[in-house]
Amino acid sequence: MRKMRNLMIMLLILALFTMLMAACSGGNDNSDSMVGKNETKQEEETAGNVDTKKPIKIKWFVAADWYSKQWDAENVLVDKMVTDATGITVEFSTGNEEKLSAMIASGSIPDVVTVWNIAPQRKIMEKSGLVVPLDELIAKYTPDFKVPQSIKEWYGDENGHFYGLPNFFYAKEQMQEGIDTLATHIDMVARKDIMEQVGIRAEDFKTKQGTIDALKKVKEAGIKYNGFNIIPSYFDHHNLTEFFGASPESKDGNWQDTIRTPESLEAFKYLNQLYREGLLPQDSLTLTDEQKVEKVAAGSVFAKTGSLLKWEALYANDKNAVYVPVGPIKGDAGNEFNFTPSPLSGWMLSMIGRDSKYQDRIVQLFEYLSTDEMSLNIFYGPKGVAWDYDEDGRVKLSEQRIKDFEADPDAAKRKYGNDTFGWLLNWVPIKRTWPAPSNEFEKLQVEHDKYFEQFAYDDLAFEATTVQGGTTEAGIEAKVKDYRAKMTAKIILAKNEAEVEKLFQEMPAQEDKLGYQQLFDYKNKAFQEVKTKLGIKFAWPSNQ
Amino acid sequence: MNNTVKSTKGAEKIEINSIRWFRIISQFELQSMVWPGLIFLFVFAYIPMYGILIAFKDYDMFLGVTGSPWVGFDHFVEFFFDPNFFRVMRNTLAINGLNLIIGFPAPIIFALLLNEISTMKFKRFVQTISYLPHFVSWVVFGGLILTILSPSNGILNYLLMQLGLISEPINFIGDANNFWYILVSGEVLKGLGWGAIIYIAAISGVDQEMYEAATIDGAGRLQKMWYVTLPSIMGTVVIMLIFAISAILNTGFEQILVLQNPLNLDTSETIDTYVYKTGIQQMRYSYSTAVGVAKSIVAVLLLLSANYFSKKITNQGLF
Repeated sequence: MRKMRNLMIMLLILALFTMLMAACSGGNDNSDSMVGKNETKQEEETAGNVDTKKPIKIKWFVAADWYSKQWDAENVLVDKMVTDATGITVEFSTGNEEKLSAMIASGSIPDVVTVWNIAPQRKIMEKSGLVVPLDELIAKYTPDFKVPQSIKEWYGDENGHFYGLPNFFYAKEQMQEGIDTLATHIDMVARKDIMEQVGIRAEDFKTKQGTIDALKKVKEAGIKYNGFNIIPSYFDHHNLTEFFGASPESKDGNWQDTIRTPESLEAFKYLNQLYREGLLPQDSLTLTDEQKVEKVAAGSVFAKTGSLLKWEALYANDKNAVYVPVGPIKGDAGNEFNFTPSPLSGWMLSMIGRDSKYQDRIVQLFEYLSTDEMSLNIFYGPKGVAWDYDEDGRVKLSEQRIKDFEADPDAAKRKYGNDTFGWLLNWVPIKRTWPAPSNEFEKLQVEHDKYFEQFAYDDLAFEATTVQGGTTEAGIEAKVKDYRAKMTAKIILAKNEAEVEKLFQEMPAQEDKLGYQQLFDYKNKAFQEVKTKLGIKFAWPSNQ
Repeated sequence: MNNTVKSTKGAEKIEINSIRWFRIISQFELQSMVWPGLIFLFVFAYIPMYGILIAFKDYDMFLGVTGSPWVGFDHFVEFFFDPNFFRVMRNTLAINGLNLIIGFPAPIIFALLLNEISTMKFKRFVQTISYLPHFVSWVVFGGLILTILSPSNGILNYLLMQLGLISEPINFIGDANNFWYILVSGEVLKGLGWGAIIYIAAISGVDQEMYEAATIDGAGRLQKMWYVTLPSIMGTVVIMLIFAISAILNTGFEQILVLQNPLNLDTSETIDTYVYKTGIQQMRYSYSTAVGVAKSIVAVLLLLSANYFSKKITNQGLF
């Protein structure tokens, strides 16, 4: 009996709670709609009398579910700066691309939508008229707003309209010759402390044989670090193919798959040789990047390719254990180095919704955010408080900001709001004015980047070959990729060079069975179209 | 003669039906309580089935389910005539076959053994310990497996080396021949305690008098297990087996993705992972749905036939 009573009480409490919750959310709904009504009323009153600073609230959807930002113009410096200058308060909502699809299907999208530029949702919104052509809005409201021609061309459709502004776009007309460089993830580094220990110079890595000799020296020296045997190398096929100069464009101007080039075979043979001589461990093929980073952090890796294998953690423990740039290895053909840069065509595209009442104000916001200095403000925090230019025109962070970040990085980030609103960020001015290194690690990073960036080339045309999601070709590409991952591992672990060659020759036939030709046609078509658009005949530097 | 039998049977049927209807109407208030459940099932299980349509269409988000163009069986053809189809199918069946042979009886044996422990405290202890892995996510559990098997610093290689059984570390997870066994042992290890719960529950429902009677008849422990416990829980075992058979095309998903690497792709690619990579990740919803539909049809057929045979052989089944 008592049990029953207890149960009843529990149920009652539960019911009460549910009712309370319902009441609360109901109340919120009401107040929201009230605000909405007031706003529309005000809007009507001031129509025809454009007040560019009048406080308004816009809804902004970002198709990235990890993103979360609460606009706080009172406490967060960047937010305050933007709101003070434009009168705009942003109400962010986020979610994955499927959520955006649902919005599209319902026919109503918020004032601003930010989406990955290669997501299929982008094209759908443009074609369906859910977003307004930005060129028309600019002509109407902000005629002085100059968007770089290369952005207009890259994101433009057949009718000459473009619909949004990207972030992290490397606009050619904004690049300063000899000053601005392209970032790249292609690299090759080795541990300086170990090189000194066994007498290896960075130049030794410039040839294939030199690299093998160097790795052998390390292996034979039997060095241990933290009790672990040193792994001579974590090299991968992708980086080596770039070193050897595989061209993504054939001599007649067609797109070509670098994995099918002679340089790719050369890279396979080389890696296979390293493996057979015990200079490349088998697990270089099975470990994920995160697992490799762990090995790097433990200090057990001598040389590696691919700058995504970070080594901050190692440096934090041992200031002598630093990686310095070596090589890159020249291939047999002696091709010049042309490394693929980090994407030049940008990342997220921000577009303005058709039904937005504030199109004029949003274009003004876009214009406001598009200056070089605003990119710096968004990235570091407001100028004057967070940073200022030094005598060389570089960014110098303020004492206060450095102190705040040393005291409590999380709280400092909440205070400055730096790097939380980068949807229109331009990396070129940030890179150009990068602060002078303040410690040894940053100095090494700068030297490293400078060394490899000299080889990066403008690969914009090749970025057009990215396959759109949802297409048959995307499925084929996934199958081909899966197959290549398997074959790459098999080839590198082959018993001898003849087998490498045999497996390599087998690949195209099998890929054709998976529908490769269709994928190739798709990519080549996109490639040719974009070359016409860009007005170039050849995109690969050696072909030009 | 036959006719009369038939007609009496028919009459019985009608009578049963009318009794049923009578009960539904006379107990209207009580019977109404099932409605929320029915409505729930209808809304969340039947209405979404409308989406199956996109398996036969080239689904375009903007055109919607009804507006997208029909393509017939194109997506099914793509899947069944894929050059990788045979390999993927083989792996799926092999992994599930092994799971059925090893993973299915293991919890039953475990439950039977657990039942023989007389110290209550120790029994609880063993049960708790064996449940624990179930609550660890596969990402973590898979990471543990990878660490244990690692050729460079894994404990298994270290042990084998110290015992002098091998001279060179073995890359267990890098050898395609080992994958099925590693995966299935991992699954058994992780699911053993959890899977045994249902059998322990069934065992606890066995009439104690039967054991007493068996003891009087001179049955030993093993005999009691074999002649009393096992037959008593046979109904549960059969139902679980039918379920397991109908799920033969489903392999777990996270566990495979965690343990998969380029070296074992030959044996580790299953229908689920393959469609995840070539369908869902590429936003090819129609293709993914088509494969899902094909799998469901096979699952229903397997369920029905397993049920049919089980009824024939053991007189026990789902329906």
